[in-house]
Amino acid sequence: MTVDKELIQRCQQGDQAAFELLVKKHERRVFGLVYQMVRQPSEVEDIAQEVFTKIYFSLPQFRIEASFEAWLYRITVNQCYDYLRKRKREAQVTESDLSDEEAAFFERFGSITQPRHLDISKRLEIRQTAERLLSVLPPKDRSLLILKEIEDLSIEELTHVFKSSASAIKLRLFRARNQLKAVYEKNRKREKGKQRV
Amino acid sequence: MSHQNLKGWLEEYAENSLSAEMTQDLEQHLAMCRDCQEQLRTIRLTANILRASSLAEAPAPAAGFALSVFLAIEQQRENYFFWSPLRLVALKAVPLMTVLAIALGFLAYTQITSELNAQQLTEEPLLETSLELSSKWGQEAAAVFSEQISQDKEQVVSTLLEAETLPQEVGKESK
Repeated sequence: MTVDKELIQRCQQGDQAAFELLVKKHERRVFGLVYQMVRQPSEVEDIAQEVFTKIYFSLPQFRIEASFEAWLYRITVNQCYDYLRKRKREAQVTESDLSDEEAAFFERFGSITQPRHLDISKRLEIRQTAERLLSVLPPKDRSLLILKEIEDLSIEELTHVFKSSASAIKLRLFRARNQLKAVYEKNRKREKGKQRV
Repeated sequence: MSHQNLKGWLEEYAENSLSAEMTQDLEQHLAMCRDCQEQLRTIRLTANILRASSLAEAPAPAAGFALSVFLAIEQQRENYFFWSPLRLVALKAVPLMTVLAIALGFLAYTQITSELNAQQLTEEPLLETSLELSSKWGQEAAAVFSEQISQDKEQVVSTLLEAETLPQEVGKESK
């Protein structure tokens, strides 16, 4: 039996210490995903707190044979949707131009998880450009791409989180990626046009 | 394998979860298919944009985060346990009320139809007797009327006969 399942069984029997261990084991992951979704550092803790409160009250109904991680991701993503719906600051199509350096960075295929060669200001610039590009996607597509590319969930794992078939997940990924690429290329063309002028 | 089938495996190819055999098949196809090359480029480009957006560190949970979760749970527990049974009762009551409403409606319908049937059964003989009565009265009235007519007819004939015979009698007397 995995650690999670053992902890969940203890929680279901009313063991508060087991729930505290469960929170400590997953809090970083929840904070990370919430931050990726809402981009508001000041809101992360409150949303994460809501996530764990929901988990606490729903644990008695949790089936031990189901995937706890998929369930945790689903509750977190839904909590973020609720927050974003309330805030209504969705899909603002931003007019940001991509410099050659930024484009080269995005198109350098390979691992860019820790670009140590970049200074802090450059990293900030690139991150902000990436965030602006991502802001055109609706929250559902953004959450799918975040779970796929940042949380490194496989297609198989995504089918459990979103309760969809593998083919449906792939179709959603295909559309979301093509939409993001279209925005990227639009910004690239504008930047190239500026350079010619 | 067809182009569409192979294109469907590009996500798994990018996440390195394909078997060696499938990887080989897909790479052979990729070498000559521009559409699949472009889609693989899209997957890698968007993956990089996503990773770049995560370059910032998410805020770290405070040391007392678990404690704050417990405090939030305690605050919500009262509401949760106060509302939860009521909500459950309300949720269970909806189908129960629907079934009850249907049952009551059915009962009322059967009651009304049976009463109507019973009424019809008692009303039919009345109708018959009233019809019979009316026909009897009609017959009697017709008989009285025809009798009256025959009496009148006889009277008229007799007066006519009397009128015919009178001038003759007057003539005879004058002669």
